[in-house]
Amino acid sequence: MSSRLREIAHLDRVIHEPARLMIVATLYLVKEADFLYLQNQTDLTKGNLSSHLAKLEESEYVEIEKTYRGKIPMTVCRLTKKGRASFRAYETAMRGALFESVNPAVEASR
Amino acid sequence: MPDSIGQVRSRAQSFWYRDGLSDILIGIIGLLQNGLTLVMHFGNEQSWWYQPFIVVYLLLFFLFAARAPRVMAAMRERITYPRSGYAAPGEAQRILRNTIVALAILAIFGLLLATRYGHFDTGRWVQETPVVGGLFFGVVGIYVAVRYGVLRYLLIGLFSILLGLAINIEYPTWLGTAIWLVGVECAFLCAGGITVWNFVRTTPLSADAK
Repeated sequence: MSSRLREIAHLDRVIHEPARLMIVATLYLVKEADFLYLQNQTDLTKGNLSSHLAKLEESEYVEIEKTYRGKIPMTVCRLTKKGRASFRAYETAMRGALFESVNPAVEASR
Repeated sequence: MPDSIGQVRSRAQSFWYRDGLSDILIGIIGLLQNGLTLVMHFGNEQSWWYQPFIVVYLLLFFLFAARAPRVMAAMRERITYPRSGYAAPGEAQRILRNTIVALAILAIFGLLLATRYGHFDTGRWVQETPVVGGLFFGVVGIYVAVRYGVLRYLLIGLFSILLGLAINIEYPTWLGTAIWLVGVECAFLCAGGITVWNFVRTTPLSADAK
């Protein structure tokens, strides 16, 4: 088994969960986004999205700010520096491991 | 896993094209720019009003282009955010977009001024502008359509190629170029108008916004 494939065992479990991965991948592309945007992009229910955001906030990957736009309440979320770095590391590890698992010649040539 | 990282990216990026407001803005800016082309084509250079008019027009145009992002944000706040949510583009994305828009505006104005006041024969290459421009819009439209799944850009791209070819064959003059630009800009306006109408009709307001 390739060494990079073995790295999958050490993936960040907070991000690795599919729903949280969608949230973090979505937030990675924007400066900030509100709850409704995240709900539309991920197709998660309100409760589900709330609980995953709480988990991400607890891990200090996401900052959540409750504010108003006019009279409409808004929950604005943004990735922290730690969250961005963790997502980049996760993506690199995952892509490397998956690439080598389908291209064994790469590992063999090392 | 319900969605791959690539699909999430593609969906998130298609958000910027979903409401059609950017198409309307492109159309308005393009028509204003083209208005100047027509004034320069038909206007009498010896008239007392000609030079001041051009200067004032250019100033107002650049003022509008500079204010356009704020107008856009205000419109999105009323139309888009209560329906599909709010997202602010990343810094790199914002800088890239603004740079492309600024360069495109400056390039077209530079071209207009060079052809008008430059001391070289423009007749030969001006006739190629619709077909070259048509191919450029076509390639960009097809790229956006394929990358972000925005079908209307494919249609605008194909229309711009066909119109450019037709004008190049039938009416290869200065005015032909202006007609091609008006055609493409009207295509953007129509596509934007239909998209906004469809967006408002099919995407309900969020519970909080009601």
